[in-house]
Amino acid sequence: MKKIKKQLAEWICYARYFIFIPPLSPADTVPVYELPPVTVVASLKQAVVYAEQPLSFTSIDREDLEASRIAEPKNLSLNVPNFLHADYGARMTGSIYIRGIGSRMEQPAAGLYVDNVPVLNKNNFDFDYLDIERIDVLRGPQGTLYGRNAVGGVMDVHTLSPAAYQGTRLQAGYGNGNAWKLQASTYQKPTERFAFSVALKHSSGDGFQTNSFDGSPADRFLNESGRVKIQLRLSPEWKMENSLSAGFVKQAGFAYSLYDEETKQAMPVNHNDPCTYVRLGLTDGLTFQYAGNVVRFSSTTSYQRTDDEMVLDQDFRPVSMFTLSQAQRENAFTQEFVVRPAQKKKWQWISGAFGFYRHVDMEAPVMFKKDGIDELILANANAGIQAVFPEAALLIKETRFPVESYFDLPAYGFSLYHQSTFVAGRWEFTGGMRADFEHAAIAYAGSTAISYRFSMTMPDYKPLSVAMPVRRHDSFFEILPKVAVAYQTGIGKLYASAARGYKTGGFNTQIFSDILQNRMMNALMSDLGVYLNGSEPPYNAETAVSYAPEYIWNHEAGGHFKLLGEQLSVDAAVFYIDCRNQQLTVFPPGKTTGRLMSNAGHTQIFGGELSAGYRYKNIRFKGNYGYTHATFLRYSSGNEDYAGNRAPYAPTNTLSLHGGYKWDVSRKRAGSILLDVSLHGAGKIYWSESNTVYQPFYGLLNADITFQTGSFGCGLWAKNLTGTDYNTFYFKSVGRSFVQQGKPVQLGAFISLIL
Amino acid sequence: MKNFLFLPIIIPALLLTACGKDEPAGKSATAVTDGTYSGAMHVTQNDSAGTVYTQDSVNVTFTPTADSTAEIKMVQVRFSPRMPIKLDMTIPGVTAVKTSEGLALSGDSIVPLAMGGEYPVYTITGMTGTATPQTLSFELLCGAYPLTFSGKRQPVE
Repeated sequence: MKKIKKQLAEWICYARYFIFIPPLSPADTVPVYELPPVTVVASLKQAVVYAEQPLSFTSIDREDLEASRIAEPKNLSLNVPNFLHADYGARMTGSIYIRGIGSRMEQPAAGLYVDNVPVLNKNNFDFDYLDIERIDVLRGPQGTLYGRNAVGGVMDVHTLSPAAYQGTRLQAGYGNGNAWKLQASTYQKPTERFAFSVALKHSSGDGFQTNSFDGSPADRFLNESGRVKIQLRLSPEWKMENSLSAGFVKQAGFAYSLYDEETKQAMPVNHNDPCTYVRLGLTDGLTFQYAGNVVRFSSTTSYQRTDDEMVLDQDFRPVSMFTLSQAQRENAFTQEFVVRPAQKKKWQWISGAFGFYRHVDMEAPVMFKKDGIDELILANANAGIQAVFPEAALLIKETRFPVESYFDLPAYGFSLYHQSTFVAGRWEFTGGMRADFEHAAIAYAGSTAISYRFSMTMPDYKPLSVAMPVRRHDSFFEILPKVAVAYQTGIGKLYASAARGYKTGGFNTQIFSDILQNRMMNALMSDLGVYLNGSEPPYNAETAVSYAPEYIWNHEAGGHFKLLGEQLSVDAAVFYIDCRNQQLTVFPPGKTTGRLMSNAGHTQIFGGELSAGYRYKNIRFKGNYGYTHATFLRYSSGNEDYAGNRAPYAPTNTLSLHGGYKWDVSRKRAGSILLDVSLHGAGKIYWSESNTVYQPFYGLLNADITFQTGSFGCGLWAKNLTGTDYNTFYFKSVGRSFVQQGKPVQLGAFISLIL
Repeated sequence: MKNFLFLPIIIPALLLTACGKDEPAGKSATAVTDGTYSGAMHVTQNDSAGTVYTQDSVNVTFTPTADSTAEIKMVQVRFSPRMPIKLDMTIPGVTAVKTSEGLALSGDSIVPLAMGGEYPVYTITGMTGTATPQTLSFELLCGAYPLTFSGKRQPVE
């Protein structure tokens, strides 16, 4: 009992605004830098805290995460300037945009590290936050230290450490849309050398969209996640940490609405085939750390396993055109070694080696159904034939047939990197370089079989089968340098930097079925001896199966400042990005059924970011603004020249304003009421290279009130209080426009208990 | 023992080979074999102006068969400028009689094959022509449409 009281006293002592869960005690098994008034858990790759580095970043600690109800990466959007983790309708497809750099499919445009483990599969980027201690979002390419795909930036996520915090946390919440959230976790340190934690989280809900075809919830979801973390002090110098986390996602997603571009109205969600996503992910990260008098060394080994399946009604309408089922199994290993000096001296440096291997088995059959056979496959052929023979028609016997696709996608890579910083008085000079090699391969086996008949000449159906084996491989070797200079002023640090980043190339897995379907049709027509004008797909099938790496040079200048006795912190940056071969998702025109990654010619991006945080007694204010102007200098799709147009998908402006106040109701009982109000906005977002469709700037008003007494807390929260209508996604499929609508008003309540 | 079983096969084969060697050299020089001929095809449109539609670089494959007939396949042809599609049309059973230059072609009431089956609407009548190792030419009525072709043999790739 005494222990509990003592701990409670510590919580009250350390309690900060908006906290209803106690802060950390000083850590003893993870690198910690004491920076009053907050305690910062550092990344293994960072010799000094981000505020002292020549880079643009936003750190969101547990206090902010809980005050802003950031429970998943999409909630992080707009809390960080020029950062958007877009809601594309499923936990598989959330794409990240930073400073106009992003990717809707295939390789991500930002790196994600969780407890120093790089998450390789973009499908796993959208996961339930479970007792997160801090998230650092680094903007601009971080290729020198973080390597492949950290072209837009890096999200560095640190979970709560049982060696740093002990206690048991229980939380429950309920909101409209039948949204439940239950969380239980315990952090224990039985001995000075051993600590462990077990954390579990459940969230579920019926969502906010109804499929008008059958009245079922169109965005129902179920998420289960858990993490077991063990921390051991093996000797005074050696520490070990193992974190095993698993997550299960099951959702009815992809609730896309037919969109009228003239009236800008979205129709109700209405599709007759299921749209679902299921994922089981498992990650184990094992870290050894050595802290000697001269150097610090760390080794991080991870194993990542992902099993997921996406099922799509790809016409997103109440017609039986075609469906896609894409199931993949990924096994991946990563290994990273990092060495840096133990003491902060005039020469600070960090060196490392990284390697990975991943293997993806993917099965992605496209099932063509009656309407799809008639409209997508036969319509064009019959239009040509019936212009000559009005009574004749090409017929396919099957009312449905699959286009089978099997992918074998192995990849491996390794890299070496070094970065040094020399301090000379108020000046700091940083230089770094990474040599990065990657090899990727694809073995594709596609096949389909049908029976066809030409009514005028063929009395019987004739079988036809087509197979399409493809084997390709590609290697990429890149040098990723970075230079920076910083100057320490009386109120903060000014810096300028230039860095190169690259997003690796790869294979357009989602266009293969379309190529195969076209080959089948060409084989059929060739077998029949009929040749149509314009029967070729609107892309080059030979070159469309792969895409090239994307390269950027980021030039920026900025500063980190502390003003008004350090009550006001200001971070500002301006940047210019030269992006070559920007990877863009393209839906080929016409009635193609696939999509592909295309390399835009040359994109120029400039913009700025401003963040400010103010604390005075019980008042807190935070504001973030980001501006991005991304323009194609050169980009031709083959049919259209988009030079001068704005690059799509990334918001031009992002804004968040956040204000909070804490009333101390009862000092004896440590009672308080916390009020938090925020406004988040984003736009304009262009949805296509032609810039004809876009989402104007929109704002979302959120509010949160929490009552906290002792170990008990409860509260109410609301998101999008004004019920703003907005779209988070737009695309074209088979010549029709669709949108993903943003969430409406969300209301909820929660209780929490700390034991 | 097994070697003796091959004798009935080997002996006639040797005899056939010997007969081939005894053929006159001039006759083998005019033998017409499988091949592709490329040239211009003219189709009279039967309109009031008597328009003739010409399609250049049409490939026609010629395949002689053992029973003094041949098969002619017109590849990706369009019989009218208004046709939105191209067709492969095969004329089977064309009579092919050896001449000193090659083969004399003729045929009447032949139902062509197109689009996976017989195509009686455009039954071939009044066909005449010649095939040599260097050239192929013929004229015919395709349904009611007069059609002529004259092409040169393409080297085998």
